[in-house]
Amino acid sequence: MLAEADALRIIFLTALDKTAPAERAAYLDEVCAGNAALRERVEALLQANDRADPFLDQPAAQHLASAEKLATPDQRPDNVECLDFLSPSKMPGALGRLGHYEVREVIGRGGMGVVLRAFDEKLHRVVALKVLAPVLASNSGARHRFVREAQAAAAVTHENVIAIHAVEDDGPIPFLVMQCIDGKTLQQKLETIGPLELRTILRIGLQVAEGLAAAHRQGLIHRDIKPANILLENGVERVKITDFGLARAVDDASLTQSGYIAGTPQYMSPEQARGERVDHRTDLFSLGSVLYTLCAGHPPFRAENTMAVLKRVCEDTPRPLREISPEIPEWMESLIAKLQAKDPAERIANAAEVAALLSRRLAQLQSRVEPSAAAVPPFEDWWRRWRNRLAPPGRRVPLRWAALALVVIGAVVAGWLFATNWRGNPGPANDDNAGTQPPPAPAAPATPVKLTSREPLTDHSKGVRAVAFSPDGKVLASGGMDKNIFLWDTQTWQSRSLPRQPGEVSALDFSPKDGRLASVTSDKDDCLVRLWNVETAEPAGKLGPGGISTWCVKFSPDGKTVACGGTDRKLRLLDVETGIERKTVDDVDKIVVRTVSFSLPDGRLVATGGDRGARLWDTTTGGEVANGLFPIPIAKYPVFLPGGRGLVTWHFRPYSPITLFPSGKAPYPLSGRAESTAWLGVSPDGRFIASVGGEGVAHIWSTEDFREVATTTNGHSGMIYGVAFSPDGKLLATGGRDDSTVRIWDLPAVCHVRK
Amino acid sequence: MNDDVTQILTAIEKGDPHAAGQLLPLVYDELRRLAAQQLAQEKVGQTLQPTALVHEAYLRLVGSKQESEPAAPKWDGHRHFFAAAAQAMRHILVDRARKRKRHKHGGDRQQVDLEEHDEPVESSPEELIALEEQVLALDAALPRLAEHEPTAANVVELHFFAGLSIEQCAEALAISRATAYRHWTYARAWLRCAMDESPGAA
Repeated sequence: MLAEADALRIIFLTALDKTAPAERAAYLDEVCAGNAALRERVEALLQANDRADPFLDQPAAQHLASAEKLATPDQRPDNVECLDFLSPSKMPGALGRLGHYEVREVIGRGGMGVVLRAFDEKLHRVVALKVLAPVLASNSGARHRFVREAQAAAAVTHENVIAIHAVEDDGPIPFLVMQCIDGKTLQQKLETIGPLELRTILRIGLQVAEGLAAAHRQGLIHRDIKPANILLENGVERVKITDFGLARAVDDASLTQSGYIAGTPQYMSPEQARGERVDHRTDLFSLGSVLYTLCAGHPPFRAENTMAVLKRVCEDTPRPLREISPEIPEWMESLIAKLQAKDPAERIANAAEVAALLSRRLAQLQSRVEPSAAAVPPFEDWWRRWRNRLAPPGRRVPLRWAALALVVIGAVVAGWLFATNWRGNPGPANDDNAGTQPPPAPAAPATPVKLTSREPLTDHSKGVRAVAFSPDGKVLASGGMDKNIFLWDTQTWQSRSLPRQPGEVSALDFSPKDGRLASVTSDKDDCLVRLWNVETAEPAGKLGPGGISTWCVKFSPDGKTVACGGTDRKLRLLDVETGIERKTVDDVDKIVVRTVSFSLPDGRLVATGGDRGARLWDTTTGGEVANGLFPIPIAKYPVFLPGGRGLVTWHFRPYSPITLFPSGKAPYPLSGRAESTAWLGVSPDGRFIASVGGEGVAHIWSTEDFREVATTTNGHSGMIYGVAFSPDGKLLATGGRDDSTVRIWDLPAVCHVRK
Repeated sequence: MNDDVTQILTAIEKGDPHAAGQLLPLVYDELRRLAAQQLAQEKVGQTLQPTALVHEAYLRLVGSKQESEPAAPKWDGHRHFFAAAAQAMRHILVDRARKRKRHKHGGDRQQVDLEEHDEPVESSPEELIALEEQVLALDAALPRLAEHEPTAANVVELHFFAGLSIEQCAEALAISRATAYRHWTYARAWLRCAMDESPGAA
């Protein structure tokens, strides 16, 4: 019992440290392999952690105060009473109506009023309404300032500033209609996790600076930049600044009335604290204080009471950051100190400049090789060396000397391609022009085409893990963590479902021979592979022994064999008709065999992927080809390109490149991309690959000139796990692991399969 | 009263097993008094941060010995005080919720605490009911957390109920800041799940 609780805590906290969704998922896949109950518990904790929790995130004393207030209706203060302005609603569960907005719940309360989640009946969207407190609405000065500032803020359109849709000033109480963001404030994040990582701080700081720059260009000053006014959108690392000019517009009013400063003064600038005139540079000071807080875990100026804080803001220099946390780089410390200069003239001149500085530092940080891959020489070096000379093939190379190993494996793959059939294949990849970059295909656009999703397919109730098109392109199969497999008609997009699976569906593949569908589950099943008749949606066979969590399945090009792998760490080649194990390779991986891929079109080799890295096997002998030559830090999962075009590898870890091993050419790393790659799809003719992963976006790359030809825009929130091209190259299907949807994208003409 | 509390704290630190029991009612009373006072102040338009409630109680009961210098709470030395304050806060919240439930179900009115002024219960807003359900669910879940994660449960008591910052919790429990943050993160997620599973155990 105790051990289990420990495991739960340790796994949860370790998973939390892995901020890239793909990396996190990979970790969970590994540690929870075969234990679906544990996985469910951890996922539930992770979900709970992501959610803002109005109860646990506030101290008990706050609840006591609320309870006292709520319990004595005759003495209720304004922030409760203020809901009286709502007119009654017919909708069940709604709190009431305000104009054409159906108010659903109270999502926040502030000094100036209440924030409500509401449904805009005209535009059919969920919005947030910020309603001025009645006591302030009756003060014509405050009301006027509120409306004026809101109108000014509405003029700012920037992705890092909350969009204000409308300012309603006709009724008895003015209110704003804003974009409704699901997520936590930076304040809540700080309270739960403490000081942030440098990279995260830079990302947040950069976006705040960019949002400020946009607002400052319009002459708008925020006046109250603080963690509580910075929203972090759920699932994506996007930052939105809220409450432009508003908080202080109202505070000024209360200040003139009472001489009392509301809200926290900890992020105020000295000129603000002294009540002097302020300009855009006051926001820069506050931004400095926010960055300080993110580094230190607490605000720079702390004292017992408001007056003492204000005095410190005006007079004291905060404790040097590097004294608090030595791992903060010097440049960060001095950048923050520059923002926090008491004299506005000594601060960095404007927000755009701050953004530029942060962006440069972030780029530097991101181009740095991760510590675990430190033994690998930088990619650029390797690439340059490779381009200049061909390494002698066949030599055994120490594993950690990954660059050289890559060269060798490149040569091995190239050698195999030479030896087999690549010369017989059409296309520009035939030119053996190693050492020079291939000429760009004429039809490929210079900048990636932006794809927009069709209407999502939403039958799955949990994450989608696999998608596959039938060889005739008439059916798309999708399998999910909800244990369902759906068959979608690619004309009507109507779905049929297969009988419910005994576990989470981990992979799907169609037989190129007879169109049967193979499915595997990552829970212990009574067989390794299930086969399905797609037309009748009925079972069409079971292969292999049961009791093993299976992660991948693939038909051989002739459709006579399926390869599969799982937590028993074996590669199995099963005869489709008899179910006999034709070949079994033990100890393919340390933890789980995660991917399998047949060489095309001969099916002579199988490439496996897993924790131990990519490995190549001879399907006739079961022996390993080029043992240990794939460099693990770079290439964990391999997939063959059709038409003898070569091989592609990827890795879950962020900043790891997708590496192409094109036939007869040098291996080519697509840049060390910040987002992790969860899965790769290959186009039917091998000219394109689609990478998907943590950021919820699919990128389509040319394997001929290595350029990104298209990228998806709207669509999945969270991680994408499955991806597949349609046989005609016209459609791309993606499966969302976090949003449980399947999405269909129309590919640009360059991707369509040439007749 | 100040001397009482200081004496009790000294006794607790010396290991007197009964002392903690004596501390609780004192802290409880002070918190209730402060909460009421805070409400009164809010009506006038002044806000005392509710988070400051326990600190305020500390300063009143323990900290104001040397008048020249306002004493900052000693998180480590007086963790018993904060543990008591956390418990007191928990009692206050849970008692309220239970009482109201009894009222609502037409239960025994005589059991109602006498110090509590009678409140109009019929018009309990839904928000209050929801809040009370949460309080009761947390009260039921916390001992389960304490069974296997005692330190995490301590962090919840000090942070959530006593209103200490995570850093202060770390000092009070003599653990590192990072550890305290991790305990809180885990406890928060765990409790959220547990509370969702069994809402409003009464």
